[in-house]
Amino acid sequence: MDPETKKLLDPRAIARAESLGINARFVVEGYMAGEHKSPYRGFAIEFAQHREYAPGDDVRHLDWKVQAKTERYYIKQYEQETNFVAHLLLDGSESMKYGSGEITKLEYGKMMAACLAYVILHQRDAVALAIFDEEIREYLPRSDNRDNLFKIMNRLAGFSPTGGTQIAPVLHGMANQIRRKGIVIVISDFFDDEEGMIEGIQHLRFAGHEVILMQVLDPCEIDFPFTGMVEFDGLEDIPRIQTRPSQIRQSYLREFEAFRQRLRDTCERNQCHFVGMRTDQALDEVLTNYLAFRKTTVGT
Amino acid sequence: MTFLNQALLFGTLAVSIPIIIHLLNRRRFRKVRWAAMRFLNVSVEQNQRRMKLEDLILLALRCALLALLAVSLARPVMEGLSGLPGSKIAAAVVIDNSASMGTAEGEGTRLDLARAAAEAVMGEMPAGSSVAISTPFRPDDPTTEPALARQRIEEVAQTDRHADLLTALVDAARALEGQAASEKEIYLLTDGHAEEWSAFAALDEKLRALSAGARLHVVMVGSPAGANLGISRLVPSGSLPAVNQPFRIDVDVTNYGKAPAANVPVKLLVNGQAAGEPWVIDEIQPGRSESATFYATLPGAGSHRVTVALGDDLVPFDNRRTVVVRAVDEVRILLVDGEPGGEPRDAETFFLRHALAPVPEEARASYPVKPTVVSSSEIADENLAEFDAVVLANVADLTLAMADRLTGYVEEGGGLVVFPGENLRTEFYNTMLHNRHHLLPAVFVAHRPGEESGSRTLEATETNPLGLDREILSGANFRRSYRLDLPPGTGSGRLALRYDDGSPALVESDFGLGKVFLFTSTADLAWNDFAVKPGFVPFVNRLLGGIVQHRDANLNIRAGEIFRHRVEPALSGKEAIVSEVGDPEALGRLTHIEDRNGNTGLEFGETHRAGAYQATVEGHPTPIFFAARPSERESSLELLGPEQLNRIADSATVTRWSAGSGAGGFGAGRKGSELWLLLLFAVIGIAVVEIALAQWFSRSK
Repeated sequence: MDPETKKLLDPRAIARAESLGINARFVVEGYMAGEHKSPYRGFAIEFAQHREYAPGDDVRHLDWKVQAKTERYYIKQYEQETNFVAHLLLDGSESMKYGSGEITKLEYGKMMAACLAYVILHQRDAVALAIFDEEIREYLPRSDNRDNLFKIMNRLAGFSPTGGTQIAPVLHGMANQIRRKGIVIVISDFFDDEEGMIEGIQHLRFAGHEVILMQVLDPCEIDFPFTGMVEFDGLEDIPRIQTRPSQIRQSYLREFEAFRQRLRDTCERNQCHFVGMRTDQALDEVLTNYLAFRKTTVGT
Repeated sequence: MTFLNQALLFGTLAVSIPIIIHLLNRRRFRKVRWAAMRFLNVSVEQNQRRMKLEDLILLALRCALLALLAVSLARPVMEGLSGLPGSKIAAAVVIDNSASMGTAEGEGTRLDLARAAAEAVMGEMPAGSSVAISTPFRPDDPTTEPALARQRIEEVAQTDRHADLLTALVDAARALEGQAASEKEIYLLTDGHAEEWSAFAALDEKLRALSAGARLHVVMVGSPAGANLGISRLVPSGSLPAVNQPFRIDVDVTNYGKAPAANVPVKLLVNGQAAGEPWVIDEIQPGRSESATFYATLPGAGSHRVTVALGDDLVPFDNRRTVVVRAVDEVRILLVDGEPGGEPRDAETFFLRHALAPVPEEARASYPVKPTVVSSSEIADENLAEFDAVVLANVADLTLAMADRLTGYVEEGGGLVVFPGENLRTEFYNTMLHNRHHLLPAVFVAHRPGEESGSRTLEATETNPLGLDREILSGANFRRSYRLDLPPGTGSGRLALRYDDGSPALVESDFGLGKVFLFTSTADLAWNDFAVKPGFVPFVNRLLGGIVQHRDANLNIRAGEIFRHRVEPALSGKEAIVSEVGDPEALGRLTHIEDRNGNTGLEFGETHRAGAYQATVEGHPTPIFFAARPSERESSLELLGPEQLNRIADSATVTRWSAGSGAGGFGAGRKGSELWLLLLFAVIGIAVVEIALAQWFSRSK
């Protein structure tokens, strides 16, 4: 692992998050035995019921004791403990390139995605990664193989943003694409069309996915501390604006806070978790705070 | 509208500064790559118009602030407005303190009225105005400090001098030059004494010229005085002022009033003490003078103050006059005889010797004049410095060295009298003593042997500098004489006596500190019978007196003249304190004895008052007395007439000022007001508004 890639993993965040783990809040449709309840009746640990054998069933699941008593073929069905698939959707648009401090929002998002992938893979759940801007630019299919972490991290480290943001089609696409119910974690600044974005979230929720919105923001975007004459050059080909920020600060903050509030409200209405993150916040703190909070809300 | 500092109008170009800064600020900004443009766009759209408007308002305020500041500094004057605060003016106040201003007016003098008028002028001046308080004798620099100006008004002292108002006005105008003020005003505070305005046409023309650049005010103080008796002349006689010998003082008293004056007592004081009974002049007709003659006895060797005083009247300065006379107790005369002869009576200097000491043989020892007779060949052995005068009587010539010594001797204050005769070599006198040393004031025209000039008599010139009686002079018969040629422009040669045919008989001149008399006939009876006539003794005495008194001529000066007195070189660098004699309140003024042009002397210029002064010199045993006489022109009572005042009124505002005059009126008629103070307030107001708005606008919205 090269140093750039390795940098994505915050050892403290991993150490603290690993102990907390990530549990699915809703019933997920895994593809293997795992810690999370699955709607499938399968062949895992906890017996559920018998059903009559049908051609094509795996003969290994025949209950020979029942056959001996009844001379009929029954298949044993169990409530299957399965794993989940977490789909990490990282916004790789140009707006994520902004960073007033040491790291950009994208770097912060990459680190968050890497840490989540690590934690999820280490609890033997599966992770799929998609990096998008106006469409999905990078995609790694689900995998529960721990070795897949390196691939995820390499993809994260190697990605450079180029385009604008269109979250809605990506969310709709993911909702259509993902067959099994899982967790969709969207890491973005969400500087996009709100209505489309909300529809995308609702689409995912309608498909049964748990949706977590992790909003990465730079402190300057939240506090808007600029003074003097400033020319703001849009990162996504938005025309430049020359202004005195101090004179419009309150107006900006009002607009910005209203946007965040609408995002929170949308999440609340759609039973999604909303995680606000500042790039000047310690990653471990953000992650563990959320995971700890999440532990308290599993099943709700 | 006019501007007093037009150059500062260029400051209005500073209006461009905020515009440039505004434009530069628009070009100089931080660049920030920004993600949340959407929210920024919304905010900017919401506030853009307001921000532009605010920017324009602030820009306009800043431009206006700088423009008004520049205009304010350029000091605009709005004509037609008056009474606005901050309208400074520049004024020059000339207070006439000539002798006539000492005329009594009520309980004070005309000068007191002028001071009060000057105070009133000061009271009408806007704050911050500059004013120069000057007198005809002392120009002044302008000041903006009212207290200092008022102090200068108080310090204007009465003088006994005649004033040159024309020069005073020129000085006043000069004091206003270069001053930036909405109004320039010149105030002439005077009594309108006709003598001061004698050059009326020139003064009127000057007033008209000055009125183009300044408002002129002529403030007439005082009212005509009815009567004035003044001492118009006080002349010590030309005789030798010897100790304890009667010394004649001639006095003229003039009635300057319009009514006859009767029984006018005239007192004589020697060194401040009354000497004898007053001389009473029975009557003096208006405009006429009457003479009085005193004989003063000077009690000891040295300087004596001889004062003549009249009774008090409204014009005090001419009621007393003082001269300083130095009495001598011994006068040594060196008589150089060019033709001693066989018998004493045949000597060329025989009559001279007797005329110099016209007393019996036994009394000569106590007589102050001590003649010493030497021959031409013996003169080289004499120390000339021991003699007060040298008389060359029919001396053919002198050696070159002796000519040099003689020239130096006269230059240092000695006297020289030349009597010609048969032996005289005109080439020597003309070439050496006239052409080379410039000692003689005239050239002897070569005398042809046997030439007779005919019978003539002496007569005094109009000025009669020796003060000889004309009848006495006419008694002598002159058969022969040298003709004299007074080259024009040679300087100091003056005709003292002439013959009745008009040809020069006696020429006098000043040479250095000494005096030279050049006579054209003999001192014995060879060419005339003057030596045996009654006029010869006084003639010789007056020659001697002229020589002695000339040495002390600088002790009597005109008021205002610089007193210059030569002293011993040992006193160089010493301090001298000069004070007015008889005025216990007069402060002594310090001066220094300095070397000038190789001579050690005392100089003192503060002689504005008439009277006696004494200079006490450190290390000098006795004080040096000198006297200043007042200007006779100031005694006249005539003031400017209505016609003249009307002419002055064409170019100046003529105001009559008396003890009851009100304070106002001088500021009336000022045409313009300065706007700088108003503009400055506007600038401050705009600055406050700008700061407040800038704070208000820049708050976060």
